[in-house]
Amino acid sequence: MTDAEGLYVYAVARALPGDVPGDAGTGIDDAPLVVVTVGEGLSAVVHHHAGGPYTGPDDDVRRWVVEHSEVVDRVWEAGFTVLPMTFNVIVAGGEEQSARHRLETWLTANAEVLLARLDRLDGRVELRVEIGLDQEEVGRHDPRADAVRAELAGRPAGVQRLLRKRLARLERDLTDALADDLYQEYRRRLAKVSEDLAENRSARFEPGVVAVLSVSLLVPRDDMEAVGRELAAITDEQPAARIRYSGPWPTYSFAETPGPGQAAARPPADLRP
Amino acid sequence: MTLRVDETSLKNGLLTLVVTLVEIIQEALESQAVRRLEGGELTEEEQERLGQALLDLDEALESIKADHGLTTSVADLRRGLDDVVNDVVDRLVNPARWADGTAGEGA
Repeated sequence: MTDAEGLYVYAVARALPGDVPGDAGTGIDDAPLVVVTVGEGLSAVVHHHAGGPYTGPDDDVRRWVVEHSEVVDRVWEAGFTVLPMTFNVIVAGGEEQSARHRLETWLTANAEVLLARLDRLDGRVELRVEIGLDQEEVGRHDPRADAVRAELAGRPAGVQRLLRKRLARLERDLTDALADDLYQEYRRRLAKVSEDLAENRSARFEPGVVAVLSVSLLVPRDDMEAVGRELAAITDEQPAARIRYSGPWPTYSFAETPGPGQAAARPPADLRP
Repeated sequence: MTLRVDETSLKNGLLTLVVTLVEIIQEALESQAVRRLEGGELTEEEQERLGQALLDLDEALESIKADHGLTTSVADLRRGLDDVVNDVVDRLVNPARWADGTAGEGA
């Protein structure tokens, strides 16, 4: 049978028991979820999809990406290790083969690699850590900054305006230099308490905070506390450190899953889950 | 395809762009002023005059943003531009990390 209808793929997991696990709910735009399973012990969570990749205004894309990642989260939260697909991975149906058949063929052909990746991610979670430095705090004990602060007192408003700018620039330079010094050290310390580490480029802090590093860590679920302890130690020893920590998430940054179908370009970083 | 232009959003979009550009130019002026201040090239009177001009510009920009409800859209545009610049600078100053990333993408 031929079928032009495609399959939108959310994630690959070890063979799921017949149905979509737990309360996986529905997919993008409330599409009903379906599980495609092959004999090699692999399943893909999909929905039947007519048409091409999802494109549209940013707000719509944002919503679709969130709905996509919510499906992945729910399957993962039901206790299954998952290889999440990037947003917009669609297996197209062809004249010769249905989309389902093509997906089954892909799962079967790549079973060894996919199962090995699932093994590597079993019992692991992803934690995201962003570390920044508060420039005012960094400048608080610097003699050059002290000198500018002393100069500010009693000057007319216009001069103060220039001096405040000078102070901010000085604090920024000091903080940039410190961030460069600390980057390697923090990266090494976080690598020690994780099995793998992926750099993220999207760290954005509030004004006045300089980014040091932004990483995702692959951590055994039972070892999450070690990361917390390391971050607490960094906070204790560096009063200017501003740390953002989130997780546990499904292991998005470590899945390295090649798509079975046509994948559109990766969505921009801030749209990714 | 018909291009539909909503007059209000066009006006706000243009005004956001203009205000953002003026803010960026103001920062360039500030940097120049601070450099001269640090170099001892400015008399006290010149410092005050320059600083006062910047204060007046601060006030004018804030009032335009408040009057037209542009505070958020200007901040968003600034952030977007910052991201572009940061990404370029990051690639220039951290070639090692950039190379890692490219190798990863090519794999």
